Amino acid sequence: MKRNLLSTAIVGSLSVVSALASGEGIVASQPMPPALVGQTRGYVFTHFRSSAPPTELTKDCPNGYAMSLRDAFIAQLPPQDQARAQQVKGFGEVASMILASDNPKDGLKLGDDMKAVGRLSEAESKAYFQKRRDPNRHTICNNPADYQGVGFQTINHADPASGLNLDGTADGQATARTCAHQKFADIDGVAAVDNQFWRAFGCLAVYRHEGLAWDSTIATGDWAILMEVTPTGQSGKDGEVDVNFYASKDSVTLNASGTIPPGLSLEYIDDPELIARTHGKIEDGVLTTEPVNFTYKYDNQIVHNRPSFEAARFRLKMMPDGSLNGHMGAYADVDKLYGFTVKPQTIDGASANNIDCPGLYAAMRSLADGDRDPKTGTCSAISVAYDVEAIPAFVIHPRKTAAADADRGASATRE
Amino acid sequence: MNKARNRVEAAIAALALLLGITACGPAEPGTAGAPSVVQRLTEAQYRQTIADVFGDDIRVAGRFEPMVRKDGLVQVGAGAAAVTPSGFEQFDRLGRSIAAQLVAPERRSRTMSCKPQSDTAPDDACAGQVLAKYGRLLFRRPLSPEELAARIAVANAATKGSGSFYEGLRLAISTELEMPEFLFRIDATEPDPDRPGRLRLNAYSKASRLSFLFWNTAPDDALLVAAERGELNSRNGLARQVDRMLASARLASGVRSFFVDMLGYEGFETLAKDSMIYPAFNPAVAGDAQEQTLRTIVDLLLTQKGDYRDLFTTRKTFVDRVLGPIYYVPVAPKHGWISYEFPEGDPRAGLLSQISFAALYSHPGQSSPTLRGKAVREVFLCQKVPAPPANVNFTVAQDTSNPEYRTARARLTAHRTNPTCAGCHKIMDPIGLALENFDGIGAYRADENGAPIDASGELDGVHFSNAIELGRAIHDNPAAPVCLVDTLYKYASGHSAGPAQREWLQWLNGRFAAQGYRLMDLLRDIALSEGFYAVTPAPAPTQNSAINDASGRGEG
Repeated sequence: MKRNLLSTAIVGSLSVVSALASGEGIVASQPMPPALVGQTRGYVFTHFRSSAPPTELTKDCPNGYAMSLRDAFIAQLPPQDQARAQQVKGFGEVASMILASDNPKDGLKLGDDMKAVGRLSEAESKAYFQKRRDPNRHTICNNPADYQGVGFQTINHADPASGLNLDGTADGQATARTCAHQKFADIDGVAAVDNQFWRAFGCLAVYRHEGLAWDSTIATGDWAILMEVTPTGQSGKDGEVDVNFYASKDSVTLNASGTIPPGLSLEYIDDPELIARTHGKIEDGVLTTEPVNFTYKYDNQIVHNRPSFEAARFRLKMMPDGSLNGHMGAYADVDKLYGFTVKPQTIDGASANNIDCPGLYAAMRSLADGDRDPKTGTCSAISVAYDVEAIPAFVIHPRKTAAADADRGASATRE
Repeated sequence: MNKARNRVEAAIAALALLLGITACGPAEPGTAGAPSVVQRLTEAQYRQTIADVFGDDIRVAGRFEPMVRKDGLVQVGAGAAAVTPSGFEQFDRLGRSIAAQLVAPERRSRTMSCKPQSDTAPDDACAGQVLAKYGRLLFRRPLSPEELAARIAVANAATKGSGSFYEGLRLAISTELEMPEFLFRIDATEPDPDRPGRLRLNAYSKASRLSFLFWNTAPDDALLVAAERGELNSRNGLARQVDRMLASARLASGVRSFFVDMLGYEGFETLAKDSMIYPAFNPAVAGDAQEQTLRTIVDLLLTQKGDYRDLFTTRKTFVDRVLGPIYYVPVAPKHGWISYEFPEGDPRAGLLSQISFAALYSHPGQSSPTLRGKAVREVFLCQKVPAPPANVNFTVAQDTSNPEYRTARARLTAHRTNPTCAGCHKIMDPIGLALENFDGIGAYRADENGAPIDASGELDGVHFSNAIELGRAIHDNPAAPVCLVDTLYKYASGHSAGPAQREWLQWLNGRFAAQGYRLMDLLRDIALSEGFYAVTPAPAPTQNSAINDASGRGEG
């Protein structure tokens, strides 16, 4: 007997749900790897984070970490000041704060502070401050294109790295939609990997050590991505599936070990911008999806954003415990991605994380390989790779009307 | 008028008794009754009574002394519960707090039935009115003139001392809340006019028994009025009140309280699980697991008016988002409960497959077929299982890492090689092993340590292969409904049935079976029976009878 959740009585606030189907034989009341036969499976992403593979720094970045904003600032000082600044403990941090400040008065005050401790003369500090500010008093990280990066390091080799082959080429040659770029070597069954994002971010100390801390906070309950996988064939055994992505309206809850448990019921936000539908195939226990534009909703204490990806595709292994594990590959608009990953943490945060904003931005633009402008031949999007982990969950479809509930509840799990 | 009606009813009842018939089945056999009891109010009864008498906005903030479980029920243990000096301090503190809230300016318009002539001087008439009103509801009978005069005197003296009428009243009300007549349910008896030489509960004690059985709280005004008028001593008058109470939405509260006691839910207060092994278990799960089972019971027995035995086989239950991940079922609403029916083929059905039972009768780090089997025997079949010998070696049974014994069945089989253990385990383990597909918190598992779970076994000659079939075996076991009747009687009367009640209980069991094992019919039969109120004379002066005498109402 196969389990049919919709044949069971879910009285009350009846909504359509998708859930893990079960296999043959006795039906289990808890997660187990099921056969995908004619039923929809629901998932919640427990991990969705730009890939930062554990590779060797010396191999990836022979010259060491990318220069930080502080170091870039010092590098632009006159030679005699550079030597003095390098010897002065804390000078770089203070200088970075000056650069980061939106308020000239703050800068002057900090200049006064430096003067007070005998590091720089007042005239010197004002000079540095004024030199590094544009006429509109914009901050450096909010306007990275207005400044010049100094010696920003990127990854230039072709060794293996996480990601998917997005452009379909074996060598990264330019196509009608993409710009010429260097491929990474085959990894985990994927050939000719595109991941220019990793080239741009891979020499940043903070990224190598911690990844982008702001893109994996699902466990805080602030946001989550839901996914449904539904067989499309009559028999359900041909591997063809529909795949839908949603933004969760509900917060995930954690169990006593601090992890997200399988089997949560999570309703999605009924917003077309946050719903993506595509097709896919399951072969040899691996789910691959066709490209789809995909936007999710990201929230944390200070950042509220809707990051979007173009031509996103997933390659996820179906694990014995019912979970999924793999990658998303996609193109991300450089300006939007920069805005999401660097701007929101505040300029002081960028300084604290030693990110040379102009250098990073320039690297992203030069490494951009997607969304090629046919007139100029330049690209404005960059290939990215995200690590993805997902566990079974029940995706609750929002209630619209009683009549709709009746229809949806009586027919199928798919919309 | 009432007396005339009562005489007619008594004549009809006597005629029916002579003919040996009632409206349904054989007539109720006579019973010598049971000794009167004095039971301390449970915490739930105290809180509910305060809410009912004074309003549910009155905070009851304090700790209660723990009750002891006796003969399988806390309610029976309440008959042996005393109040220690520290416990009395708690009651004193509670009483003062409650009384202060009652006379607070913002509540006076609701709580005061009169206005004193002066806020700063004694007003015995007004104080007496208030104290009589609340005293009647708290003592579950009218105050005697002496009792009321004593309370008024307290209010008068305290008013003079404090210069505040309400301060005086507060103190007098707080003393009512500290009196044994409130804190203890005291059976008061009187000679049974229909059975010369025998005793029965008086009308007010009848009212208390009914109210605590049906609603788990003190009698309401209507029930006390019926007692005052003597209506509870006539079958029709009693039936009117019984039917009124059975029809009340508050019946669910009483039924829940009974099953909370029967199922041993006080055990959840100290239930702990190893979070490394069972990360899904937390206080919210523990609370909602109890609520799920109680909702299942109330729905089947009261809403659906179903067969009690179906509690062991029903696939219908309720779930919320806290329990959803453990049962692995979808729950659409973010808050609240939905009814849910496990589909055909699902391994769950009945109370034994629910989280509450599986978690409560398990160890912190593993399931326990023995505890579960013991619980089924004792709670649902009323079969006493002896305690294990003091020198028993549990090493083999508890070592889940032994590769030779990967499943509980294998471990217990090895453990049972000890002949001193084998006898008892033989009657417990087969039942518990049928539930091994549910781990220590009730989550489903097909295997243990990689070894498939064999859930087969046998209960009193009936073989089963899994939890579903075990539930059916208990459903069909004659001991199950008999156990419920016995337990319900213990709960309602406060003592275990003795030989004197055997024939009466058999009659009750016959009625229960004939009426399709419906709990509401059983409650009605108990409440309308004479045996429920029959009291045997105390063999010698006891503390209970002393209290009865002191209450001024006890006539036995």
